[in-house]
Amino acid sequence: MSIRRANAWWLLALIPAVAACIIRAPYYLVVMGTIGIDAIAAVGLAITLRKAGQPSLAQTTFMAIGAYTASLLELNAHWPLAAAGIAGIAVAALAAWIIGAILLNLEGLYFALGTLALNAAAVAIFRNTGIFGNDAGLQDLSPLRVPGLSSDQAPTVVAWVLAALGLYLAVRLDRSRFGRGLRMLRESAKVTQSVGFDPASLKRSAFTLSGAYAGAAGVLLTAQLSVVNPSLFSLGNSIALLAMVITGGEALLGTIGGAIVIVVVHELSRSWLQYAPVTLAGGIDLVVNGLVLILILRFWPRGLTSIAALFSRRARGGAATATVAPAVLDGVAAQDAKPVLQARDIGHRFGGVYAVDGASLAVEAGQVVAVIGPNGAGKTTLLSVIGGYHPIQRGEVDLGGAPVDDLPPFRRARRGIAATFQHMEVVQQMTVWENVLAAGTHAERVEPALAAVDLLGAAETLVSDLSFGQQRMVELARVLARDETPRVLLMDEPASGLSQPERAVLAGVIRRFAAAGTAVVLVEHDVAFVARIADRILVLDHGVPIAEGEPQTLLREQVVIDAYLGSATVHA
Amino acid sequence: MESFVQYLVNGLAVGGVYSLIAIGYVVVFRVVRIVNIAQGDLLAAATLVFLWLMNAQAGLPAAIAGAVITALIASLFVERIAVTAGTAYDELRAFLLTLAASQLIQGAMLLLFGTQYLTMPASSPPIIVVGNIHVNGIYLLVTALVIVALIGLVLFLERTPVGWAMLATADDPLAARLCAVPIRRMGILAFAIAALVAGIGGAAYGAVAIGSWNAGTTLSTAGFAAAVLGGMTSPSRAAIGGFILGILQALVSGYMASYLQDPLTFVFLVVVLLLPAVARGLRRRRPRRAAAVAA
Repeated sequence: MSIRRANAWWLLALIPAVAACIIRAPYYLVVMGTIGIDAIAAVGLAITLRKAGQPSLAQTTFMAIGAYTASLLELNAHWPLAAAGIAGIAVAALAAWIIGAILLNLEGLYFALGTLALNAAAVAIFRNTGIFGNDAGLQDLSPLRVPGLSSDQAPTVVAWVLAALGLYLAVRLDRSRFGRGLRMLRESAKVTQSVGFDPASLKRSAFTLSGAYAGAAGVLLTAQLSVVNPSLFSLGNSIALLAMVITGGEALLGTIGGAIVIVVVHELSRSWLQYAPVTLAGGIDLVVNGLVLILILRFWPRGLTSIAALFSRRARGGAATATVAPAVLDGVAAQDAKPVLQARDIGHRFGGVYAVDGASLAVEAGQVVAVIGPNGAGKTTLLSVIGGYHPIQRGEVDLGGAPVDDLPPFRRARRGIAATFQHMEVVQQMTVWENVLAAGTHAERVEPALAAVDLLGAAETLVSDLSFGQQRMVELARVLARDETPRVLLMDEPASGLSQPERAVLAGVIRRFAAAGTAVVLVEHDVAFVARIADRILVLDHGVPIAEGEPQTLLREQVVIDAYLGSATVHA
Repeated sequence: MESFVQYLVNGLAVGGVYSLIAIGYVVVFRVVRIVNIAQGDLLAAATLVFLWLMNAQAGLPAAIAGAVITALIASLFVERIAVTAGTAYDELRAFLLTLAASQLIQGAMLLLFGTQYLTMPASSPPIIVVGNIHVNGIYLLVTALVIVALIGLVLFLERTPVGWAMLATADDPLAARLCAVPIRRMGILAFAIAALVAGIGGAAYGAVAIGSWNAGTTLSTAGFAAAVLGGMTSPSRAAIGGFILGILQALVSGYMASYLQDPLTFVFLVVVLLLPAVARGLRRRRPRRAAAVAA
């Protein structure tokens, strides 16, 4: 079953490059070149906006950094254009890396506002610094020359060849483990960490890459115009790039379509209003950008991608054809320390209220320990502290005898702590296959994992199209498909919302993990389910451990019954 | 000393304008949970209309009325665009819609007024002399005006039933609706108040600065930075933030270079935005286990 098809849509971006070799009219060549250059910058922006969820309004600032670097090297150090261009791209990427380290601590619209302020600051500096030529900028740059092409053709052809290359790289990246990590991150930092990704480094890499794309676009712009000046890199132009990405929608090829739409509408509206003074062209562009953004955001949020979707329908829940043997877990490597997981005297409070107060837990390899208790007993908080999702306040967590309490969740995940969550964390806008593959690096592990939870037939389905129970099964398969069998598995209410057959599958998977040597910590309300599967039970009430023992004896103890059913028995 | 006092007076006047923008952000954010990045553009548009009317000899009352009406039209336009059923749950989308509206306002200003800069018609400003220090009285007048507007707004929000209803909407829209507070109307009222503040601010800004079609970006960022200092919710703290930023900018322009204002706003904004995260990080730090065991 070949699930991943090679996708050659990016080759479409070579058509303008070929066309530009034939077209002679300078106006059309310049417009096409502008589209190609904007497309490169916009694809870069799409990586950080659509893939990583970071809306940058400073894309033209990184274009400027690339453009000014290349121009200064050319004018002052007499570097050849190619070398200066590569240096420009590198410096733009470096600048994005450094600035990203600061600004990526901000989320969503606060990040957008930080980059907006950055753009305004950068334009002010370029306009008022002598080395950048102040308002007039740098002039008399040598034009781009390609043997056999006219001076009008050369920049356009090169721009589109690079746009196609950039699109190809971005599509490949989107399909890679890194790309899946980015798309997970956009929906949930928690799940991203739980499979071992470092969210900060993912975001920073995406932003750096988008800076490199911007740098390339900036260099090409100077090669096309033979000048560079601050007005090319205004906030308005950054917003035009944003409008291209939003018009394009989710797919990267759509971003190229967005670039075509925006630039063509700019050109058309200018030519309709050709009798207006030239200085007003900028005003028309602003109005166009504003109107397009409003129309798309209000009435067509999926943008051009929704057209592409008509042509390439994904198989939704097709019948399972092949028979794949369900996953067989590798045994966990021999443990030196006796309890794999040891949590001692965990205390955690929110404001003044202790959610967990002095809970301890020791789980041996292959053991299933259940944590039960009434609502608000602190069960989920305890799991979160063990997994690292709440920073530790009091107590200690050891994994295999080594302390892990200072580590962020993704480092604990890399050391072998896997997790499923109470508020199920699956990536809605990825297929089942992609969700499960994101857990590790071995594609051949995905199908057996899906077979183990009866989801093989739904591999190509978007998770958002699945039922609740099936989505929980995706979460389970994600743990099954990890590169190494986890040493510890934290499960928060995995049975809630599952049908009886699904519960049986869940029980089977838990037993399989235990048999492979995983230490399982299970928080669950379904006491019958717990009694069947757990080796030991810890009962929490108001954050305090009130009983611990084997299921058969423990569940008959009065203190447990009181906690669950209430102690004030009413006698008639 | 004399130049320092002059910078301080400049800073108070411009900072007062930033305070007004910041209050516009706060009022809108508190009621509809939208960060309205067009807030500075409302003020820039009001400034242009104010200066245009002043230069056309329309008189001060007409010029102020023109500024307020301009801001009101622009603000209600932003409200129509950005406040929809969907945006209440998607703050980034709402923000992008206000960004789009800000581009439309800037584009309209560029098409109407061109790239020219407008200033007050030439006249000799009232100079106030204290000892050997000369201060432009317009700046003091503007500062006083801003403080009056600020006090009026805080009194309105905190001492009148309509103000209470607005704050109630902000805290819990559903509960407010159950108490028969018309929340859509409260949203429109918030945008109208933001416009009133921007109109007055536009006239004040026109009296002490230059009007141009693209001043809005700088004003929006500065006002937002001030609003963030007030936690996006406190009008009075936002106002203080505006004055701090205005004075810092005046000092940087005076002693260093005026073009460093935007870079300064960027640094100020980043510091203000990241300060809570840094503080949290410091508080979270706890003794490492080895140290704890040794102790």
